[in-house]
Amino acid sequence: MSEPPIIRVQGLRTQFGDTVVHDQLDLDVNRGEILAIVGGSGTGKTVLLRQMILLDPPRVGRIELLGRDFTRPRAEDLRWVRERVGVLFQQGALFTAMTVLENVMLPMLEHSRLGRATIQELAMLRIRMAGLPSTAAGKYPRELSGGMVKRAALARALALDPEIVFLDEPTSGLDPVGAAAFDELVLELKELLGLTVVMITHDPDTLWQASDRVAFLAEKRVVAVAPVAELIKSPQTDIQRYFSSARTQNRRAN
Amino acid sequence: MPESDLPARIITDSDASIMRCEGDWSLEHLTRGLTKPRRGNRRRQWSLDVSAIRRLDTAGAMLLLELQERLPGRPAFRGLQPRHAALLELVEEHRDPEPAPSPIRYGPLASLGKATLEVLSQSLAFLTFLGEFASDALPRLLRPFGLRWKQVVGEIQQAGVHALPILGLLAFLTGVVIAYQGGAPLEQYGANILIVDLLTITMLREMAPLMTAIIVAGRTGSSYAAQIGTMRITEETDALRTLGIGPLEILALPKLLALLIAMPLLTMFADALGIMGGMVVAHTMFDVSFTDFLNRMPEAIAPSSFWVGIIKAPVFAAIIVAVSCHHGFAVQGSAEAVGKATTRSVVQSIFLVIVADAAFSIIFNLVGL
Repeated sequence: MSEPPIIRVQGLRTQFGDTVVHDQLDLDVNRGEILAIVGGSGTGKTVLLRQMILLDPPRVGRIELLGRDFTRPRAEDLRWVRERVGVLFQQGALFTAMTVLENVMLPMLEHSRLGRATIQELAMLRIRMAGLPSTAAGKYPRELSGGMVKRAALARALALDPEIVFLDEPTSGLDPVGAAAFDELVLELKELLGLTVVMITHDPDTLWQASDRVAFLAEKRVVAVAPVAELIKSPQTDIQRYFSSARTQNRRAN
Repeated sequence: MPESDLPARIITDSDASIMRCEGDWSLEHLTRGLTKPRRGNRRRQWSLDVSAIRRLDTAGAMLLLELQERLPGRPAFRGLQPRHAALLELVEEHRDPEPAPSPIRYGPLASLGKATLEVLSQSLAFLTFLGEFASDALPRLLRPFGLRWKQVVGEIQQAGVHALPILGLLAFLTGVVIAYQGGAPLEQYGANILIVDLLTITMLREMAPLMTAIIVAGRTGSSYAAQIGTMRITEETDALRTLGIGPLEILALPKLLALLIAMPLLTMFADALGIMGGMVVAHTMFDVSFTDFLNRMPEAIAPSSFWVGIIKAPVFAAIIVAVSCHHGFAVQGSAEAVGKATTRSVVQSIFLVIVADAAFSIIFNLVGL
């Protein structure tokens, strides 16, 4: 790749008390790809994601987003990057006191200089792009099904036309049909909007269908980054164990 | 890619009838009213040149489409870059012909009606909760060995022991204030010693139980409502039910028992600290020595004054637990509801405590205590 990576994590070390979660962790994400982060429980996938979306500052190591250093970010830099990065939290994290429409409008009201009517129209556009019916816009998060919450949260993550979208287990808790539809949606949006997508997932379907490369976390670092078809041929024991489980095997057979 | 920012602009060339769109048509560079054509421009035939647009995102695409619609004859885009065309198509496809659903707004009369009904249904819900709680708790109270005493002790620690410093300080200061305010007029008549009567009667009968109840409602009642409300949202109460454990039994009953035990003790503590505060002021300001004060006390008050104060405490405790647990269990849906339930539980329990206190005064008056 001639272009510099859109996200660059270097020499990251994370430690909780005496437990070292990451040590000398490096990861590059290229512009316009879908990168999936996988690994067993407790390998620090969510911690890594939280550091990449600048919620937890790294103790040791360097984090670059969109070509800027965000290891010790200043407030105005943070505001700059927040307009360019969207996050879909695992539980959706929709604001329960607001309707879906208000949830999607909120970031635009905060960050753009457009009129309210235009913002509302844009919010409706996002909601429909995320695959929700227009009627869902007036509903509160508690009135939505699990799949609809994910879609509404995706609509909010896309509200500011971000360049990077982070997804934390986007298909967890969805039925296979809903999960497949969500994967397709992410693929389609990535193609059309030129998004870079970083996601944590355990869903083998998602890995095979909706990821360009897979970063495998083990031994406190990223042990391999490769397309999933290459990754499963890796001789590394952790990777073999992860992909030889019955569940993943079944998927491959299909 | 450190590129300088270029605001989105429309340059109108009237001679050639061309509108040129240029710059970054992305969300942060778009401004209000950008695509509203001026009045004079609405009549003419324009052609739309979009070749100079550098960046386009979905927000910009939507505004472009809007501009196109507003111009007469919907002129086609000229010089459209292929990657922008795909985006325009996507936005076109998902644009919503129907407007967003607007929330229903109620008129003043309808709001009044809704509020009235809400108050009524809330009172009804509270009575229902009381009934449920009583029918659940009473049979259990008859078998005291089956109760969760360990939890009760924990709750006593939380609600009672940890409240001692703040309650002690406040009771002491209340005693100081009463002695100050009451002492000055008494001194004019040379009746300094009557400070003892004034202080002990107000402290024991009214101030100590009331102060204790208010502190406990604010400190403990609010935390009960918040705890139970949060458990409702995270479905923990439902989980308890599926495990065959009654949420009332494990959450509300230990709290009730704990406060029934802790509040009379807290009230006694407040009695003692309040009188001590008064004694200090009486000694330093009004020449009533500690010995005089203590000697006068048995003459000043009947033992009933003490019991009149203490007997209120368990009633206040029951009110606080019932109200705060009711509001906790009534939480539905959102984090905001937990906040509201907490506020309501504090306001309503203090309100009901004061109402009950007034009722006690009337009753004691009638029976001549």
